[in-house]
Order: sequence, then structure tokens, then C-alpha cells
Amino acid sequence: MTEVLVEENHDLPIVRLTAALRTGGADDVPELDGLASFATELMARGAAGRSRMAIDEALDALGAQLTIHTHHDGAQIEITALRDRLDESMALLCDLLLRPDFPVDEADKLRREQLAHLDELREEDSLVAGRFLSSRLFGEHPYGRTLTGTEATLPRLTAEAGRAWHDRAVRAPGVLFAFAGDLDTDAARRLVATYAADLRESDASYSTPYAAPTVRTGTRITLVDKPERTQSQILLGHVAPDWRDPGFDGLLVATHVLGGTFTSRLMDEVRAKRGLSYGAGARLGQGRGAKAFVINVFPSLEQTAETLALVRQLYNDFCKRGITRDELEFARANLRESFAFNLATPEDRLDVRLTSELAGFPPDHLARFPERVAAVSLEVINEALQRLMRPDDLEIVIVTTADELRPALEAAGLLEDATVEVVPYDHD
Amino acid sequence: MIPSSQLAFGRLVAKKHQLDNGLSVILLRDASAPVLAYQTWFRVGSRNEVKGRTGIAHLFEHLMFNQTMNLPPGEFDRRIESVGGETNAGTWVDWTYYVTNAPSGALHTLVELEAERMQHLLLGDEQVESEREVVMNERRFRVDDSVDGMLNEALYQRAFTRHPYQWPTIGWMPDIEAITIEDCRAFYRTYYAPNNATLVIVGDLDEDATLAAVQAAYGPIARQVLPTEQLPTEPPQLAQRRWEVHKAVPADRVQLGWPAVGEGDVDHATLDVVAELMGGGNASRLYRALVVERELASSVQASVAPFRDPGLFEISIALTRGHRSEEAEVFVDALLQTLAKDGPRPGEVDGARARLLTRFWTGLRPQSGKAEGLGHAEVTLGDYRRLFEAPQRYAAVDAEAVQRAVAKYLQPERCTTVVARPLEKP
Repeated sequence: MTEVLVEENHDLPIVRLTAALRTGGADDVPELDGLASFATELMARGAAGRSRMAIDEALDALGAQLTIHTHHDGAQIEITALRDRLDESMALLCDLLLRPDFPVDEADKLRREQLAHLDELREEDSLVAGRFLSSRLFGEHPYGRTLTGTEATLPRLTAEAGRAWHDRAVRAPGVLFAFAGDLDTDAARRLVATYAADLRESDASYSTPYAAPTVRTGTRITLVDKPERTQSQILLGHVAPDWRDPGFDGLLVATHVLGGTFTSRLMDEVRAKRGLSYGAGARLGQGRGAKAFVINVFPSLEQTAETLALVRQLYNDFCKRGITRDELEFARANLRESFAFNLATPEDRLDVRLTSELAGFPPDHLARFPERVAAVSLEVINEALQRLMRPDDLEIVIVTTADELRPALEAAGLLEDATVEVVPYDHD
Repeated sequence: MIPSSQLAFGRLVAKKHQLDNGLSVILLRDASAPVLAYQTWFRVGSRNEVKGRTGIAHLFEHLMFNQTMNLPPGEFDRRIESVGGETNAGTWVDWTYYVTNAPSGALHTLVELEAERMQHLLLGDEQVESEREVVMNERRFRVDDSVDGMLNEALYQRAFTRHPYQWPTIGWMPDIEAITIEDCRAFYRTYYAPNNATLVIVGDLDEDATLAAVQAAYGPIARQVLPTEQLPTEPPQLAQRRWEVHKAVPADRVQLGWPAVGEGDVDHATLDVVAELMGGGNASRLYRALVVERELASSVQASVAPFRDPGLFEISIALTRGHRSEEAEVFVDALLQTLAKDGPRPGEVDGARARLLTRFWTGLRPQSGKAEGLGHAEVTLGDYRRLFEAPQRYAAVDAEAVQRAVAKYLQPERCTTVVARPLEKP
């Protein structure tokens, strides 16, 4: 039986309908990087005998918003519509999901669009930095996939490849339906029974964990060279431990102390005390496999060397000396009390459940977050920081104007303990 | 205290009260989740600035998080975070607003802290200098290193010749550097007064207890004499304006703007519908022509500014490699002329209206969205009850209104165009 998740709220006359796939961009093979995103987009370019134009016009006539979101652990096709357009919206969603035509001419066009979107992406320095950091950290590992594809792989993404992907991915139990808003569970089940009865089944396993990535040692600095920058986008990090590691919850709390709030160590030292960057934060990823620990700051070009030195020092101290009892108590209180925001709207509540499903977490993993946070001790946290974090094995990506920045980095001695590469920003 | 007015909000009811010192308080009980959205809207934005001191309204937004008579630096945020809350703020042309989202049990902490910074902010060298550096970095991030940010700044600079909408809310860099402590103190005294503010609280609250707490904390704050606003009227634009620059972009990017109407004008909703017809979805006219059929562009957006005074109807296009902005501009002109001459197709306006309604209701889903809608309507339109005018006005837009609005506002001679082209190879 197809899984159906429902979060009701009848205050406003809207419903979000989601078809979630347990196959995501990380499941693409390296030579077809970007296929999951390409295939899900192509599903909306022709289905059940309707052309792309007819589908767009149908959405327009419904006043519905279609969102297609592919991430590493899964993909979601969503329609948000007014309550009185529910049946037509579900019928359309299921046409896209179950009866896509994969027209060759639309596949050719989509490929060209994706190449153009790569150009747009390169205008956002933070996105450029993220793309380079992922490839540096994960390489050939599934989490090294770009999701968008690259100039090398996009030409290989065809209608035929999309159809083959769909044949594997869109089968029960690899699909689940989720609804949030102005409907009840009976209505949701009726919609699935009426419009998705022909969902095929598979014996394949979905949402299986990924193997741990290979971790390189030593620090590497990648200067992503872009002309005329007035500031530098800096990301630094390393592969994080898997959420299944007993020390992981402690690291979540510690990362919150380092860069999870407006009064965190990074914000206090980088922004409040020195005004070096508008933002400064740290995050620890979790998913079907080990993800990344990442710090981000974006100082002016003139203050980049000073900021990088400061951030590296802060991270070293954090890993080696740990956090204090006061910091732990503060972080615990903040995380416990703010958890209500993860459940504030029906869409929020549904997203928590969907994230757990697609990442392969235990069903109550995220819902139990406040309890897990309450259970970690200072000793466990500081032991985990020393054991699992890697301040001497950093990948540092800086999107900047390299010729202008490099002398300052050299003068500050920041290149002495690292290998350095300079790559153009429009190079995949 | 008896509410001075109220508004049915779906199944909920928003009520407005006013303290003796002029502070407006809008309460909406929404117990669907145990959280509160607590927002303070001040009727001050970059429209209230003068040349040479642009950016002060936005700089002030930063200063408000710093130090008060009774709170050392950082303590405001720390106390809110300790109860699970999060803070933010925003400044635009017509307003500045301060946002706190917190668990509902934190109400009294929020009331105490917000009332404190409305009356006891400290403004010295230390506070101003550190935030000035942060704001300069924010400007580099949002404008100087962002092609879209830079183009939008250039568009408003050229489309407006007299009205303060001509300068960016974040301010010109030399002006940010030039703002003095005396400027900041005068700005605080002038605009951060209870009779220039609206408090909007939405969430799981007890109305009587909330109002009592607000009265106790804010009631003693003295009202101020507010300056009379006399802004210049923008003269009609009679000829096209154009500006081009070379930047590190792989293909041309272009933004076009036409003088439109203020959000309170009945034609604003019509122009919202026109924006939907032109660039609101994959079936919209411009998207289909430029992205789908001819592949001249990778993205197209259209919108009308939600400002108190007339802002711009804007179209933004990212060209694909090898294509020039002029190729897209020809289509913009042609499609607008067709819309003015022939009007929308049957059903086209219905779809646009339904999309706008879906977006409207989606925005009001969280408590913070409800508070933002109420606060924006109160400050920009002059009455929070006008929040629901938008759906009523969308319903009234028909094909004839669309034709008339395009013919009236979107003529080529009223257009300002700004273009970023790729750097020329040496």
C-alpha cells in the first residue's frame, strides 16, 4: 500500500500536495551527474499525451504553483493549490508523476536550459563556493554529485536516460504521498486511491545508507578566481561523522554553540566584535550518509586574510578546548525551546516527516530532537569534538579575485600549511 | 481596553487597540502552534532620508540590536535566544520592522526587551562603528558583488529624479561612511516613537493579558512630535532612459522599469495581474516567448513594487549566451503592445488571479506571515483591515482593466532600461 502522510489545518483554504521520491541526485552515477534533477524536470514537460504548453496552461488555469525540488537524498514534486481545486490538482500531479512522455524535443531544450542555468548559478558567489566545496570534500562519492549536472554530463542526459530513471525511481515503495493543509486523512487517501492506483511496485531497496567517503588529510585551499570581487565568499569544512555515530548529537549541540545563532562564537567574534562579515555561521549535515561540517563567512577582500586566520583559530580552539558548561546550557535551552518552530505549520510538520523518510532516519529521529539534546553531556560533547572533528584537514574554498588576494594570504602565513589551487569560477 | 477596530481573518479575528501615547497594537490569536510572532513596525524607511545620509534607516536597524541603558551589548539577542526565540529585522523604502519569533511562553520577555529598546537605546562611537563595518560588508554582498542587486539599484537611480525612491535602502557607500553619531541620535529621537509604531502580535496568546503587559511596558514611553512629510512628486517620464555596464557575467542581464502606482491605488492589483500574465508562470507570455519558444533567456520575472508612493513595474531577464538584451527588449515591447491592443485571452486573467490568490494565502500560513501581512497593510496602506483588499481587487480585475492599465502605464517612452553585459575580452 502506498504510504500517505497528512498534516491537517483548516484555517486557510489551501493545500500542498507532494509526491516524494526516495531516489535523489546522490543516486546518479558519476557519468550521468544531474540525471535525477533532469528527469524530474522533464516529467513536467509532457505527460499523459499533454504537451508542456498544455501542462503549463492547466497549472495556470488552476492557479496552482508547481515546485520540483531534487536534493541528494530524494526528490519532491509539489503542487500548492486552493482547496476547491484539489481533485484537478491531484489528477495533474499524478499525470506528471505516473504518465510522463519524456518527449525528445523537450529533453533537448531542457538540456540547453540547464546549461544556461549553470551560467546563472555562477553569478551567485555563495553557490559557486558551495559547488566547489562539495566536489572537493566528496569527489566521486554520491554526495559529490552536483544535482544540476555539469557541462561534461549534461550532453549525456537524454529523454531515454530520463525514462530509464523514472522506471526505477517511480515505483512503490520508492514513492510516498504527503498532504498539508485544508483536507483530512480520508480525503487524502481517497485522492491517492483515485489518481495513483496505477503506481507500479518494485522489490528494490530505497533510501539505503551510503558508504563513508574517503577522507583526505592535510589542508587544501582552493582559490576560485572571479574578476572584480569586492569581497570573498569563504567556506571551510570537512566530511562530518555519520548521524549514527554516538557522538553526533553532541556535535550538533556544539556546532550550534560555534555558529548556530546570532550570539554564537562565530557571530560574536567575526561580526559583533570586529565587523568583518555580515554573516558567520556553522552547520553540520545529516542524511542517508555522512555529510559535511561547514563554516561560512564573507569578508571584504581587504579583510579576507584577517578573517580566515581568525576563523581557523576559533575552529582550532573549538575542537581542542571544547565548549563550556554555560554554553551547553544556553544551547540546550535554545534548541529545546525553538523546536516548536519546526512544527509550527502543517507544511513544517510534514517537512520534518518527509526529511526523516527520505534520509532513512528512524521515524521519531527528528521528533525526538529535544530529548536527544537534553541527554548529551559536556564530557560526551568535548570528547566527540576531539575525536571526530578535523581542524588540520580542512577544505577551504574562497571565491575571490585570486591575484589580489593571494599576496595577503601569503603575507599572513596562511598558505604555509596548505596546498593551494587556483581555478576559474566558470570551470566545473 | 476596547478594540478600536477588528478584522475577520478566516476563522480568526484581528483586533486593533491604541495606547494613550499613540502606539497601535494589533493582536491576532492563532493557537494552531505554541509560538508567537512579535513584530514592531516603524513608519520610517529610506523615503525619510536625505541626500548625503542615505542608508541611515538601514544602519539604524542594525544599531537597534546593540546596547541599551539596561542591556549590555549582545544581551538583547542573548535573552531572546535563551527562551528559544530568534530575531531579525528589515528596512525598505517605507518602513522598518523588527521581528521576533518565539515560543508563546516568552511573551513577557519580548514585551520587556522591545519596550526597552524603543526608549533606551545607547548610541556611541563603539556601537556605530562596528555596525557601520557590518553594513558596508552587507552592501558588498547584496549590491557590489551581485549583478542583480547592482542592476536594481541602477534602475531606481535612473527611473526616479526627485523622489527618495531613487536611492538604495542600504545607502550609497560614501554616505554609509559619512553618517555621524549625531545623525543617529537625531534619527532615533525623531522616528522611534510610540506614535510612529505599530506592534503586531500573532500567535498562541491571551488577548487581555497580552494587552495588559504591553500597556505596562510601553504606556510610560512619551509620544514625540513627528515631522510632517513633504516628499517631491516625481515628474512624468516622457522619454526612454538607458544605462549599460560591463560585468563578470556570461551573458546579458537586463532590468526594465515603468513608473507604476502606489500599493493603495486600485490599479495596483491590475498591474499585479499584468505581471502574472507577462512573467508569472511557465505559461506567461514573456516566459513562453523568451525561454520556451526562442531560448533567448534562461529566466524572466515581472512584478510591481509594493510601495506607498508609486514605485516601478519591473521586468528582469537573464539572457542566454550569445544573445543580446535588445533581442528580448523587442519582445517585451511587442507583447505589451499586443496586450494593450487585443487584451488577454479568455481564461488568462482567471488563471493569473487564482495564482495570485494561492500565493496570497500561502504567505499568510505561518504566524509570522499573518503578522507581516497585517503590519505591512497598516504601515503602507494606512489600515491593517486593507490586508484583504488584494484578493477583492484581484477578483475585480477583468480583461478590459488589463488593457487599460498596459496602455496607461507600460508605454515604451516611460521605460528605463539597465543592462549588464559580459566583460569585453582584452
